[in-house]
Amino acid sequence: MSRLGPAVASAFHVAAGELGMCSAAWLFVREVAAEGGEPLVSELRDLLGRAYPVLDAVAGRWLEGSREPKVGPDSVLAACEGASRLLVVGIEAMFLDALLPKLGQTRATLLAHSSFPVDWERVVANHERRLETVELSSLHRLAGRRSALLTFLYGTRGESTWVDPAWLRVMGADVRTQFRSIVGWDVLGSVMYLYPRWLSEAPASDFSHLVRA
Amino acid sequence: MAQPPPPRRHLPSSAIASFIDRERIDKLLARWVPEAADRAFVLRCVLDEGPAHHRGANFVLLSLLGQLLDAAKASPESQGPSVPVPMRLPPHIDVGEDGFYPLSFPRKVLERLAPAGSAAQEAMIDCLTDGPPQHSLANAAMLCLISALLERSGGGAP
Amino acid sequence: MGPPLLLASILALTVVAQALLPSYRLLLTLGGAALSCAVAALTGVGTTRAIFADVPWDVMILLVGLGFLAELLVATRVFGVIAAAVTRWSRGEPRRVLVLFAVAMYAVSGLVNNLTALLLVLPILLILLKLLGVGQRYLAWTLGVLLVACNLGGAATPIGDFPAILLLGRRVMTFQGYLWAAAPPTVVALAALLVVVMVRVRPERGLVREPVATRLSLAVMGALYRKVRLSWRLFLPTAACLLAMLGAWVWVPPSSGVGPELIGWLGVGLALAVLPRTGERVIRAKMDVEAVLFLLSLFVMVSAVRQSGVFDSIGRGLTSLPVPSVIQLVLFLLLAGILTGLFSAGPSMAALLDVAASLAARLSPTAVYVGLALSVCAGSSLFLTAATSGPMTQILTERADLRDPLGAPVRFGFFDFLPVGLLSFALIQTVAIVYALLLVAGSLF
Repeated sequence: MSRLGPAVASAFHVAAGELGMCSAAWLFVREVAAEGGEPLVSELRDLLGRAYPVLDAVAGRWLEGSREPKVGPDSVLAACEGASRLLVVGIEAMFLDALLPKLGQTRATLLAHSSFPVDWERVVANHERRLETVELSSLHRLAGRRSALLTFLYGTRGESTWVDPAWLRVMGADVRTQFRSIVGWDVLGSVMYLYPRWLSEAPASDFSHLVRA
Repeated sequence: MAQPPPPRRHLPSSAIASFIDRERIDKLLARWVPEAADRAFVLRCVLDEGPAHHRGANFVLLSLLGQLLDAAKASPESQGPSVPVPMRLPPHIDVGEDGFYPLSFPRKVLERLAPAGSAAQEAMIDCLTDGPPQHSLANAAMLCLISALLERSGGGAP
Repeated sequence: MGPPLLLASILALTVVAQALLPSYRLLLTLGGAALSCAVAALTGVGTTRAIFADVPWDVMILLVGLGFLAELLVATRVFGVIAAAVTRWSRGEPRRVLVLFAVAMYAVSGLVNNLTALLLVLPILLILLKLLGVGQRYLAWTLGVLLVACNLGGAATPIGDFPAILLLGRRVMTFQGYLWAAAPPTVVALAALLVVVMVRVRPERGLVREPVATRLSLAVMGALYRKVRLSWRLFLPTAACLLAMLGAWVWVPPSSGVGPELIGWLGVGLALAVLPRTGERVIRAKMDVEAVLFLLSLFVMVSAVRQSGVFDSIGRGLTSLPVPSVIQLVLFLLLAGILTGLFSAGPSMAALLDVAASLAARLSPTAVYVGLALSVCAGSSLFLTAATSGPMTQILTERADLRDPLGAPVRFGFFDFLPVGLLSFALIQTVAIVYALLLVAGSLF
């Protein structure tokens, strides 16, 4: 009998919404490995991988020997250099935790739009005075010649990449020409083996800067 | 019954993309937009946005004007008021100076066609700066080049 | 039908109608209030001006002010920090989760109104329950006990919930008088409830726990609150103002002319002014207009009934019952509990306070009023629909889409709460009656 009960699925759903798919996946894999080692990570992958392919990819990386993601934000900071505003689409807690303290004077704003239930006040409270939120209908207020737009990518292959569906709501022809830099930060670093449920395909050419983990 | 004529054969869009030399336009615009990140933004709007034929046409016209500029050893005007190019933000949004692209063109060049402050000149500015940035920014870039050429040619004031 | 009976019927029908049709609550109560004014004016009972002059505006000021204070406390994130700490201390063990969250809810609802307290603590508990994956029985008892703890916490302090605020605002009890008299029996009632639930009911029975699931739940909760810290910038001035208000409520004598409502107004006003940006936002966007309009309508209807002399008649009827005074008190407290269970705390308390005055004239006022507040608390805990916090818990639980370990949905509805409600009503009502009788006995000797 599996040591991972069905509640693990709803637990991952909660975590994925508020921490981000990739951050939640690393958290789960780390905790499960601490409890039951690689066999339990394999079990987790089998149990939830199809439903959450990012978790599948991260578990795969773990089983291949990788123990933590590369979250160095330097390339993203370089891509945002000179920007006074940064609009972030999508949540990845581990990566935002690394990036936001280094932004200096650049004001970061998170788009409050998700397919998952999210307590946005709690998300912002984790980044005291470094992050605020904006509704989809108001994102133009953050546009401008010194504004940058950032989203997280979940693997890139050729001209295709996979993004939070909110990105498709944001990235129209109008918005593309209203932000100086459009940065895609590949937090997964590999292409998903399974159907990328929860995510949407977007052309890599949407981005003025592609940053790979 | 007569058969409809076969559709006109178009060149593949890759053929357009292949002749666009971003480096050339980047170097050309450096005289008006010194900051690299700003220039990258303008280049993206002029050469990477909108229908492929616009991108290609923008490249051709700007390149040729650049050649003319080099041949004439002309340089950008250093003084006089300039016209900023606004972003096409929703009308109720005002983000101040940030709502304009980092490229503007000299107003003086339009005085050859209409007096400063006249309704005609304002209408010209409206025509040149309206529309998506592959139009408005390309217009602004070309006006910068044309203005420098006219200055160099010694045409003087109208 | 004479005017007194007509006005009493309008009040009773409105209260019943709003209980039956909660989605039209404001429309019904505002309509009932307007009708009461019209009947009172046309029958010569009193003008609308006279009825409104009788509305306890000091209570309304306290309610609004304390609502603003609660919102300031929310902005400090103090309750999120507390709830996250409680989660850590619980170690994900179901028994500890139930007890610790009940105690935390009791403490929080002593400071802010029940609905706010619930909205602050419940979402965190629901996330934890979702992460843990709990069964129907455990969920019903945990949320049920949480609701009752919320009611008890509200009754423990003079600023925790409407009935106590009403006693403070009407100046029938002082701040410290209520606090010292009401807090101990609520603690006793909570302890009794927790003992019965933990020893006899054992809601965690049958739950299958896996160490890895518990570990993951705690890890996720830790990550969700990884950097959530108390906002000292907001907390220090808010806490300082609250402490100053508590001090003033305790030490400023009523003879000074400065009543509890003025202390509340000045204290909350100062807290809002010290934090002008947050303060202005709270005033503009966070006032609970629904609660204010609902209670204002009730006060207007009760005022019309009072002016018609009905409450005096009921009071006289109660005190002239051919039984000893203490039996009259017991009957009155039982009636208060049952009426609250049926019609909720606001209407019951507003109407029964006048009747209580006739008993308080002959028995220990503290026994009557604290007994009344505890009985209203018992009634609020009887049915899920007896207090606004019940349906709110139901809605939040439905939204959370909780599942048991086999993936089946778990619910928290009227009948799921009923066993908890019956047990809690019995316990709190018993504590209320025994405590009131002890106070009466103490006052006699």
